[in-house]
Parts: sequence; structure tokens; C-alpha cells
Amino acid sequence: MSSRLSSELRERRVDAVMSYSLLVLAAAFAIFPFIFMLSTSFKSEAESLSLPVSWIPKHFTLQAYSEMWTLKPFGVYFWNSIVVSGVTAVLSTVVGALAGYGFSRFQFRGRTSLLAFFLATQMISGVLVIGPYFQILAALDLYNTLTGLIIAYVTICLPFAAWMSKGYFDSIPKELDEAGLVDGASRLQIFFRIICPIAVPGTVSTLLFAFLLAWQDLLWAMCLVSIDEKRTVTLGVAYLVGEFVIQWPMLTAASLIGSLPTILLYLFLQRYYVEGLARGAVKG
Amino acid sequence: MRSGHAWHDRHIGYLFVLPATLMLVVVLIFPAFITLKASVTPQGGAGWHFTLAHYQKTLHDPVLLQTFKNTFAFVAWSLVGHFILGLSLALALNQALPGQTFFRLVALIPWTIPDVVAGIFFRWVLNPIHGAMNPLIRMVFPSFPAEFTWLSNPTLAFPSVIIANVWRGYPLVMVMLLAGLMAIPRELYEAAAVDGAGRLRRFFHITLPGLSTIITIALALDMVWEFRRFALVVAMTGGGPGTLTEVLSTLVYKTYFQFFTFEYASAMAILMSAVLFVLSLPYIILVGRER
Amino acid sequence: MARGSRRWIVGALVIGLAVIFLAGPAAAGEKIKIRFQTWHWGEKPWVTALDAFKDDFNKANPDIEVVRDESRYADKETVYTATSQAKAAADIAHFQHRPIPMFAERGYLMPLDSFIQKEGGQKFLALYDQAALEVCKYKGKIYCLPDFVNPMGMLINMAHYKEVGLDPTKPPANWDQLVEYAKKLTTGSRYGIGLIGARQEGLFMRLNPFIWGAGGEFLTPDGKHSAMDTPEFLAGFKFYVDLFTKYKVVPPGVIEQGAQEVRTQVAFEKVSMNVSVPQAWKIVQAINPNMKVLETLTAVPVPAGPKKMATAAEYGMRVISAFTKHPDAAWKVYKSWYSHDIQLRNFQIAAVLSARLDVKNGPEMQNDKFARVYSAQAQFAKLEPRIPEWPKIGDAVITATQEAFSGMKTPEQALKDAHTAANRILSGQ
Repeated sequence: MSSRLSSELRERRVDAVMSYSLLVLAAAFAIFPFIFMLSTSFKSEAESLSLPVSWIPKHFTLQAYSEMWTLKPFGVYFWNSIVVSGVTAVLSTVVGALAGYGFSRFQFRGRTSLLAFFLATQMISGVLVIGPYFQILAALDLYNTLTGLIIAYVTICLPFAAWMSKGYFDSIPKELDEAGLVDGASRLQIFFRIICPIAVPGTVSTLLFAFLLAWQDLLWAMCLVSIDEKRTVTLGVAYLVGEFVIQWPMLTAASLIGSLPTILLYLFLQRYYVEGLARGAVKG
Repeated sequence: MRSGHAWHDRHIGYLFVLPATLMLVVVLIFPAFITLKASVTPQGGAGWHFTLAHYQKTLHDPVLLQTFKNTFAFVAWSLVGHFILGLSLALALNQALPGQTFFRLVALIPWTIPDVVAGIFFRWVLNPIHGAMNPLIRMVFPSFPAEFTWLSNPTLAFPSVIIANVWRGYPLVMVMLLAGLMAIPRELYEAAAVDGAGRLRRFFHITLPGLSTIITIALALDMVWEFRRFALVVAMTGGGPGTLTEVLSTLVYKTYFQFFTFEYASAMAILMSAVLFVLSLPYIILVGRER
Repeated sequence: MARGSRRWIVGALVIGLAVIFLAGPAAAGEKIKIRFQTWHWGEKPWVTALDAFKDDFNKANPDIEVVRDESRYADKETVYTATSQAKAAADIAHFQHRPIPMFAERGYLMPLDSFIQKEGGQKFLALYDQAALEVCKYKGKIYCLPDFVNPMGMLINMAHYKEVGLDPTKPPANWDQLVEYAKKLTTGSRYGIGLIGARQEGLFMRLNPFIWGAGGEFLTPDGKHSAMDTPEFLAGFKFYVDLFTKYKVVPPGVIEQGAQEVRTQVAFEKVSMNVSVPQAWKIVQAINPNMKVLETLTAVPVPAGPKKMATAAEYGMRVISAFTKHPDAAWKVYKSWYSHDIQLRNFQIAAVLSARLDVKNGPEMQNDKFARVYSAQAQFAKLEPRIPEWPKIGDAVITATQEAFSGMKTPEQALKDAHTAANRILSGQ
């Protein structure tokens, strides 16, 4: 008995050591570009371009961080990005989950073909979709609106949301659905009241993915929006790359702050990971 | 009664997938149809004349062939990198270790930087004159050449782009696999441990089977996305040196917006989609077969 | 979470609807809005000139409002193409000369002939540089007026010259001297000359003077075949490549260096010379405020090639969209931009060489230390072939240049492959 316990403990310790080493290495790999971005964001424009390159700013300044909001309307950009990305994340997760549930629970005719169709839409090159999509938007007078962007982004995220949800729902036993049916609940009720709460960990990746896709996109935002008031953060950052100079301090500062909403979102969603874990233990 | 239930089953299923399908059809299929039509229209022409000339051209285009090869290599290596890093990190993060939230956040960070910013940034960092990478390496290895070239070097350019792409893309796979790992009940592991199964056996007999669906989905989706990866490559190398890092999406973009040959670009895009579709058929069948 | 998720959906819908209403088209006011698009809205010092123009015009014309519309230098054609396809392009847009034929061919641009007739036809056109005006014509119609002309010259660092015993008042006059001086200027940490190897339009403006100077041409006189296989073309191409590979007077990683990077190298004294546009000195000053540019740098002509004196040029022009809803208002704004005072101010602020003859030949430009030299180069300036296949051919030439720079192929082999590719492209591939 005791030898098994001690070997278990040993195993766990080895696990922990291996994991920690991996995590530290990975953290270094993930972070090192950020360190340079951080240091650049605290430089003046002239220093950011100067040679030789310095990792530590010679003259530490917060100029980029303040000019972001004053010289350039990054406040407006942030608002636009948050609205667009937030709505995209929620809408695509919900609509995608509905579709995923349909794929998971029902063996309707053409199911596999429809699954294939969903994936196939991801293979259409964005470059060629933009022009015609534009014509639709212009006809509906949705050019230069956030709505036009949201519709595009939600649609692009849907296949992923549907596939991910299906995969996750598949791992939730059908018995739960059937228990609900026996109790006289409608399918929709079962979906919202029984399945969704359990499926939350699975939606985390979808929510994050959709949020980030909308946040980071350049091509669609660039073509669909030409006025400053509707610009997103990513677009604002891309515009710091000019013909003559790249405004590095502001670019890095804006990118760093631009990554905060996603991090906050992840922290917020973290809670549901744990909750979902507890509920997920119901099965099996 | 039974057949009624099955009928009801089928039709409710359609209702659940209807909203998503509708959006996809309206927003993406109309443009896809326009692309298809353009690909069989003679260059510069309008109306309903059809020609397969553009497709014939693709067969003889050496740049396209090279680009296909590059793209396959790019996708394959990126997938490998994403999965090795993503899986190992997911496994490490699935344990109740102190500092877990911190590491989860840190591991996630590369994903939060937009493609285009990552591309511009890496290009700058790897520049032999203005870049920060060489000085950093020299801090540890002072004998490293001061003006070492990464992206201009024919041997190193492609790996550099791949590493940048792995850096940017592994968090998504990691998050997906982590969610999948969390769904595997702890009791299974405990039971196996009691039975004396070692770590490796537990991994192959519990973890992998439990993750199989998610892995399949992640592989399929990541493959499709890396095929379309665009902003990172354009910003980092512009396809160079020469055509060494040119990938399909950048070539289609160039052909459409720089060369102004819309019809040929459409044919290339359709070809790219067709190849992708064939490649993903096994996944579709696998996932469709589940349940 | 169940009820919560419903709340989420409702919340999202509400936000979505709010966004639609808030973001929808603004109520039509009395003012006509003309979108004035250029990527220079985000560039110093251009933005000063643009803001001044916008404010002055809006004040003088209360019924028209010039609206700032910012494009991105890297994607300006992309956005214009996509928006033109949706018939929602900016009223007035700014481009270099290269995409004009292609935009005109696709029907994106409004021909200006009728407006010009009303202004006096030929007399009006005679105000502008005639050579540059040719670039605005396509299939018998005029699609733009030339805004500014940028012939390429060279910037040299006078202090570096003096350091190594060279006389900055006697710049290299031919290729042998260029190599000789560059070698002398290449010390431990500095290089003689900065070149562009990155995949961008700027590469041609540095490469072509050498190709043309050697007597090479891209196409045969009938424009139907590639002429890149002539010994003259090879001589020019090889010289450009050799500066990096053989003479080693160019900093490493040339394939990654674009116009911005090279100008930064000049600004931080990493190179002593570069081939540059007329505004380069102002840009260099902005990059490194600590460098006393007026005292340290000077402009000189590009050295003459073995066969002739030739240089490259780029032209800036504004166009009116064929889909503009207010053509007359757009023309009013357009005409104002091309007027004497505005053009002169643009020169003074942004250091561009106006294509308007009375500014070009005026005292301000003639007495400017830098502008004078560049302006004198205009007579030697040539343009790349203005055929629809050029972008693709140019792309192949860039590929060849990069392959030769990186040693993947010899210059001869790389050029041969580009020549084959060009002929394939011209024959319809």
C-alpha cells in the first residue's frame, strides 16, 4: 500500500518538475518578443529607430502611451473593437452551438454533407469574397458600419463554432437529453437548460477564437471601413505603418494594450472552466 | 409512434442548423458563386462566355507549382509545431499546479497579437541592421556575428516564418486540447493508476482516445486556417527571398490586387479550395461518423 | 447559465440593433462631403499641408466639405479596388502612376476631359508638365492631372566623404567611380551605399537607373516581347547585384531592406550614400532629429551608366472616382488642389517637386539646395513599360533580383528565368 502511495507521490513530483520546466521554457518562448515590444513602447520615436538597437530604453518615456489617446483616437478604436469582437463572439458561439447541437443529436438527411459544407466555407479565399460582399453591403447602405463587419465576422466564425460545439456535445451523454425528454421538456429547453451549462468549457475556445478573429482581422476591416470613427484597434495599429516611417512606440504600445481585452476575457471565462469541470464530473 | 419520433427528430435537427446555414449561404456563397463564375470568364470580359483557359494556365504556371509546394510544407510544419507545443502545454496546464492561471495566461499571449503586427514586428526584430534579435543572441554568445541575416538567408527564411507562425498559432490548439482534456474524468486515470498502469500507458489508452474527436477537429480546422494564413507571411518576407516563402494565399492576393487579373486569381482560389476540400475529406468523414 | 445565456442573446441582439442604428448612415446634411483619400494623412510633414488645404477649402466653400479619408500605403490599391467594385470608392484618391491604366481599364476612374474643356482645354493643360501629363492619358482620355514628379537622385553624406579623403563636391559621375568611392566609404561599421532588395515598388526606382544607364530595356520596341536577355540589360542588372555580392559595399540583409530601412540607415550613418526621392532629406531629418541634415547631406545626380544618363521617376497623381455622387463638387476640390498656391505650399512643406510648371520653374524650387538637383534629373527620367502585364513582369524581376542577391542563382541565371517568365506572361500566361 505504502509503496504504491510513495511511487504515486514520486510520479506526481516528476510530473510537476517536467511540467514546470516545460511551462517555464514555453513562457520564455511566448514572452520574449513581448519584452522587446514593451521596451520599444517606452522609447521615443527617434530612439526606436536609432542604431545600435537597445533592449533597455535609454530615455524612458510614456509618450507613446499618452499620445495613443490624444494624437490618435485609440479610445474610439477600442470601443469599436470591443463592440465588434464582443458581439461577434457571443453571436457566433450561440448560433454555432445551436448548429452543433443539431449535428450532434439529430441524424437528419444530408447531415454529413452539411458538415462538409460548413467546413468548405472556410476554404473560400477571403480575398475574393470581399468585393462581392461589399456590393451587398453597399446596397444595404451598411458600408462603413460596425454591423457590416459583425455580420462578416460571425459568418466566418460559424463553421468553427459549429464543429467545436458538435465535438463537445458528442462527449456529453445522450442520456441527459433523454432524461429531459421524459420530463416533457422541448428540445430547445433541453438545449438551454441542460446541455449548455455542461458545455461551457467547450465554448470557451469558441468564444476566445471568435473574439480574437474579429479583433485581429485586417483585410475586411480595411476594406469595409474608411473613416476614423469606425476603425478598429488592429486597423489603427496597421495605419501606423506609413510610407516613410513606422511609428514603433505607438504601434507596440497599442498592440500591448490591445491584447488586454482578450486576456481579461480569458480570465473571466476561467471561472467557467472550473464550474464546468465540476458539472462535467456528473457523467461517466 | 416510433416513426413519428424519428420524423420529428429529423426536422427539429434542421431547425437547429438553420440560422447558421442561412448566414453562411447569404454571406459566403453568393461571393463564392461570383468567384466561380469569374474563374471561367475570359479575362476582362463580362457576361456569360465560358472558358477553361484560366484553369489550363494554372497547370503550366511554375510559380503556382512552387507556391503549392511551399504551402504544403508551411501547413505541415505549422501543424506539427502547433500540436506538439499545444498538446504538451495542455497536458502541463491540466494539472493542479500552483501558478497555473499565470502560466495559462502567459501561454495564451502570442495569440492576442494580430497576424499583421506579428509579421511586421518579427521582420523588424530579425533585421540584421535594425533588429533586436542579433544583439540579444550576442548577449549570450558574444561570438555570434553582429549582422547575421535571417530572412535574407535562403536556408533560414522559411524556418523563421514557420517558427513565427507556430509562435502565433499554438495557443488556439492548446486551448482546444485543454478543454478536451478537462472533459476526461479523473476517475479513469485514478482507476488506471490503481491497476498499475504507467504514465505512458495512461496517455495512450486514456488521454489520446478521449481527445481523439477534438484532435481530429483541431487538425482539420488548423489545416484549413494555415492554408489561408496570409498577413503574417506578407508582412514578414513578402514571399522572398525570391519565391521561397510565397504561399497560396499571398499569391492569390497578389494576383488579384496587384496584377489585376481577377479571373486568373479566381481560378487559383477555386483550385486552392478544391485541393483543401480533398485534403479535409477524411476528417469530415471521421467527424461525421461520430455518433 | 441557462437563463443567463438567454440574456446574453438578448443583450447581443440589442447591442447589434443599437449598432445598426448608431452606425447607420448619417442624416443627409446640406453640405456635400468629398472624401479626399491619401495615405499621407498619417505622415509628417505631409499632414500639415493636407490639413491646411482642407481647412482653407472648407472655409472658402461652405457648401462643400472636404473629408479626411485615410488609406494605407501598403494596401492603397487593394482598398480602392474593393471599394470600387462596390461602387463606394473615395471621391478623390491619390496614387502613383502605375495603377492608373489598370484602374482606367476597369472603369474605376472618371475621365476629366469634359471638366478640362470647360476650364480652357489645352490652355489649362499647358500649365502642367507635359511629359507627366502623358502618364495620365489612357486610350485617348485623360484620367488625372500630374501632382508631383519624383525623379531619383542620390543623397551623399558629405562628412563621410571628407573623412575618407573624397571631395563631396565631386560626386561619382560614372559606375567605376561609384564603386571606387563606395569601397573607400565602406569602413568597419559603415557601408558605402544603401540599396533596396525588398519586394516593393521602390526597388525598381533604384534598380532601373542602372539597367537603363547600361542601355537595357525591359521590352522590345514593339512592346510584345521581353528584351531582358540583351547584354546591356544584364550589365545593368549585374552591376546592381554586384554592389552587394561582389563589391560588398551594401549592408547585409539587402533583401529585407526597403525604402524606409535604407533611409533609416542614412539617418543613423550606417551608409554614406543612397538612391532617393526628392523628399528623402526631409524624411531623414524626421527620422533622426539630431542629425543636421542640411549641413551633412547633399543631393547629387545618379551616376551615368556606360551607355547613357538615365534615372527612374515616380509620379503622384490624384484621381476622381467614376462612382462619385458629386462630380462637380469633386472637380472643384480637385482643381483647388492643383492650383498654384496649394502646389507651392505642398513643395515647401513636403519637399515634393510639383508638376505645375509655374511652381516647378519658380524661384522657390530653383533655389532649394535639394530640389534643384532632383529637378534637373527629370529630363533623364524614364518610366517602366506602362502595359497591363507590367505588375506581373515586375514581380518576376524582383524575384530575380532577390535570387541573385541571396546567391540562390547567378545573376545570369536569375535574369534568364525572369526573361522566360516575362515572355510567358506577355504571350498570355
